[in-house]
Amino acid sequence: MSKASPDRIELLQGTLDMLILRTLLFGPAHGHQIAKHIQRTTDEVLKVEHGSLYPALHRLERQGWIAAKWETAGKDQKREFKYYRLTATGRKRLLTEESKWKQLTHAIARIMWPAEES
Amino acid sequence: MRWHRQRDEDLDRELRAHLDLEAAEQQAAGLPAEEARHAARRLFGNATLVKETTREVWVWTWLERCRHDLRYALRILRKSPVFTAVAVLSLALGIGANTAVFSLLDAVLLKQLPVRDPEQLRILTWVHNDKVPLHSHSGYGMRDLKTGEFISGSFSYPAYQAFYRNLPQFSDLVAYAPYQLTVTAGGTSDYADGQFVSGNYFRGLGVQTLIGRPLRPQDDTPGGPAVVLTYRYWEKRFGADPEVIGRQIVVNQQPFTVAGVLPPAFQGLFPGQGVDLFVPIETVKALGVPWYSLTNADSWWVQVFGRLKPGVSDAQAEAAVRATLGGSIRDYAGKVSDAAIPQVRLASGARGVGLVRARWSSRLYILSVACGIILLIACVNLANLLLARATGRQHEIAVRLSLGASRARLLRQLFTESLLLASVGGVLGVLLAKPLAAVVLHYWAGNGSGTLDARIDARSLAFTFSLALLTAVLFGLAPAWRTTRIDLSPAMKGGGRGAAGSIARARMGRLLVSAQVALSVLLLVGAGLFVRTLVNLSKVDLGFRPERLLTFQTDPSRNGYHGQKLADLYTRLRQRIAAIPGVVSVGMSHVGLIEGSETDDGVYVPGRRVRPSDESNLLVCSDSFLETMRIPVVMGRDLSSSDGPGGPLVAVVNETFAKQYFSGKNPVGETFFLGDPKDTASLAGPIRIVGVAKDAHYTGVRETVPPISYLPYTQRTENLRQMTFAIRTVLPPLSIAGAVRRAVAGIDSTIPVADVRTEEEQIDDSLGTERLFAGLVSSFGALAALLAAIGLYGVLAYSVARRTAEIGIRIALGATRGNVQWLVLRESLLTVSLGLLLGAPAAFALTRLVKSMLYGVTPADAVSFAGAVLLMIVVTAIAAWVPARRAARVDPMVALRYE
Repeated sequence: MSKASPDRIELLQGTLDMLILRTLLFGPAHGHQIAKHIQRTTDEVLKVEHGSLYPALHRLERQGWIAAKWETAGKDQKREFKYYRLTATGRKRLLTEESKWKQLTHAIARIMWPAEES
Repeated sequence: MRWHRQRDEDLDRELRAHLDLEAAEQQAAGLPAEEARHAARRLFGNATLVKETTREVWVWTWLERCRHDLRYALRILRKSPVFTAVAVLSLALGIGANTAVFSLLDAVLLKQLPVRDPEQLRILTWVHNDKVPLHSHSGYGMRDLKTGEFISGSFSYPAYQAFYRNLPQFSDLVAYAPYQLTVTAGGTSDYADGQFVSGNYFRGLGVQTLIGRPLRPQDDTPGGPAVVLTYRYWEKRFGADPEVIGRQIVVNQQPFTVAGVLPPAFQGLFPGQGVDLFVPIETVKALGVPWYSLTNADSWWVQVFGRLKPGVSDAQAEAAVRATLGGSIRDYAGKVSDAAIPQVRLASGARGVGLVRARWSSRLYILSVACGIILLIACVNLANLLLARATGRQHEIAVRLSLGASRARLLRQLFTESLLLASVGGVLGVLLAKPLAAVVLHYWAGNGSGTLDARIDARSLAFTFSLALLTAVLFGLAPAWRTTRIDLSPAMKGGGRGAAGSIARARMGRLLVSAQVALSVLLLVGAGLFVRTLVNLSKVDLGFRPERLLTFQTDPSRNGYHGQKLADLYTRLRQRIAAIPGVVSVGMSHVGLIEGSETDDGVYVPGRRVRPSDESNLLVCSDSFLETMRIPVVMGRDLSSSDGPGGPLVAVVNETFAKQYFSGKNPVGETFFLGDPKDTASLAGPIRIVGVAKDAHYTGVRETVPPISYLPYTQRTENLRQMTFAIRTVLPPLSIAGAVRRAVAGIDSTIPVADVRTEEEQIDDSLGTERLFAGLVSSFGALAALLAAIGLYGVLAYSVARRTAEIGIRIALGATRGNVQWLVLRESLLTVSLGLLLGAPAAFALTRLVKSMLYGVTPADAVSFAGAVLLMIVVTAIAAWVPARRAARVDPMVALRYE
């Protein structure tokens, strides 16, 4: 993560929550891993600010969509990390968010590229 | 707070782990360790800001949810105003009544005196036994309910002085004695509740004055006397004038200087029994109280409390007090056995002297139980209403649960609603508590309650708050639990109707109504007993005619009138009052009838074997007394003006006296003696019986009529003191009160005219407790029955609505309207019967506790029980009738179309 490069995009408001939930669908992860995963999967296009990652994680935990537990990492038995995992309600939440997102992107796409859509 | 700290540490740890990982990555990319850490930190950005925003997530979401829940609850409650009104009002009444009774209970039983270190105070008492050589003893004794011993709190003044000199176990010892005084100031005279106190009284208690100074040991001299006023008296008598300090007032004809005024919280040592002013104990003689001797160790009249030094045990101090007391007794009685020295008991003085407490506590406990029941009923009623409403919201809740709302979240929301109801009820309850407490105090006004420190203070508010919280839990939790535990799919499909969970909910509703019925029966039986007691008491034939009688009290002996001079004054007063237009006749007696006090003495009839219980009540009165009260003389003659000081001693006795001492034979012309029959020297007489009067009540309405001797005051001038005047008029009695005052002032304006009221008021006041109980418990009972009826109606109406389809099928298959009505009535009957079966035995067990308050009825009074049960059946039948009719009117076609 060097200085902001021009081809990086700021995350849309509210989408970070959905991305975190989606990331956790693969299994428990800690904050660092989540941030790295999002960046790596999008080829470093999406940039996750720590200033919004941790509040978002805690907000999701507070809502009961994810749950946290301190555990040692597989290779490093000495150090403990706070692992987040998806809860049942979190899974439901992800589905609603996802369908909402789909609707939104389709709607936007229809306006932006009317010809291609039809 | 702990929760917050833990969360903070947690966050720190999490962020540190992240930084370490980042640094490790940088290091792996080839940076040296130190630089790698810096790079990681740089990349991370402002760590503190990250922490701050993360922390805010928690606080805000919590507050947000509270706000949401509250707004949601408000919206829901606003949507059903009738439900909200019933809920809030019944809660307000329950909480208000409990707060009012608590504030009284607190003032009488719980609150500590507003003095320094109240827990160190000990009241000195001793246990009565026959061997104590004691001749003059002034009251303040009481029977200990637990041990059955008779405890007295009076000592002689020399004994107190010996305690003060010889007992190092106490850091201070104080003497005091209550006494009624006449205060003349600003041109008027009135009675005041005085207290003789040793000069170290205020030092011993650690009480300061509001203005001026307290009494000091150097004030305790027969001359140069000073007084200290209580706040209440200062307000009432001197208009709270701060200039009163240093002013001269006249107490029992002696000039005193006002030294100070006490703070409002301090009302002496007797909670509920007020004091007006404190005077130095050395002035007893100057104030004309000869029977309170400062030198005679055989005259026991002062009460003593001490401040026990830390580290001294009560037993040690008791032994020391007893040794000193023994010395004092031997000073006047010579050698006496050790058994003649009474056992000494130290009682805690932290809450004041317990006489009032004993008299009040049982009534207050009964009131608390009644109030507790009414609150419980309000809770049960609310639980039922909430349950019914929850069923209406079943669909909504099912939808929310299936959309992913957690059950805890829903529970919290429903509970917020209960909490809101309870809080509003609590606030209204506090507003209601003050007038309710005032009502109770009004009925008990005759018991010195005017000075009771029964404010709605922080303690009562804390009580109310906990009560409101408790009620919210009681009525809110069960329905909320029930509501959120539903099977989703049928609830979603059927819109609530016919759902399986609703059967359990109906059962719970019926049980709650049964509980309400049971509690209502408790109150109604109590109401029946108290109402019948009051009716019996008001039907008692008093033996005299109380209508159109004005009474007042006076005691000119404190204005310097004694003996013959006082007797002559009374004769003149009587003539002057008799001359007022509208006055038929004027009678006087040393205590008024039904006033609650009495005088009695032993009786000795020559030639008759003496029994220990040979006693007679005495009434020292004028020759016009029996006629004025309309007590008929059935044999012989009435007292007459010719029964003067020089003539033979005479008396009129009542029928009970004649029956007891002359076995019903005509006693006119016979003689008897008054005094201790075992001690011939004490006997006064012979007294010749000149007439027999019909039995009439003397002390109170409840007491059976004892033997009474009516004695002319003209023949007992040596001990003559106060008199109660009874004036029979043809006018409304109170309309001549002004003329009576002017008549008395026309003879001597310093003579106080106190307690002006009608005889009927006097009788009513004496039944204040009974009227209060009958009124309060009846209204509680009626309210309880009403709430139970509402509850039953709700349950049945719901049940009919739920079973509309079933009823439709039944009618379609040929059931008659009667069959259908019976279906509903049977449900009601089962519910009510269960309540009655629970309530009646509980009432049977509880009413025994109020036995001592009843008159003319037994605790198991069949009329009260039958009345309560019948009333409950009628009320609930009316409540069941409406849903039963609705069920009978179900149209099978319409009902079945719903399915």
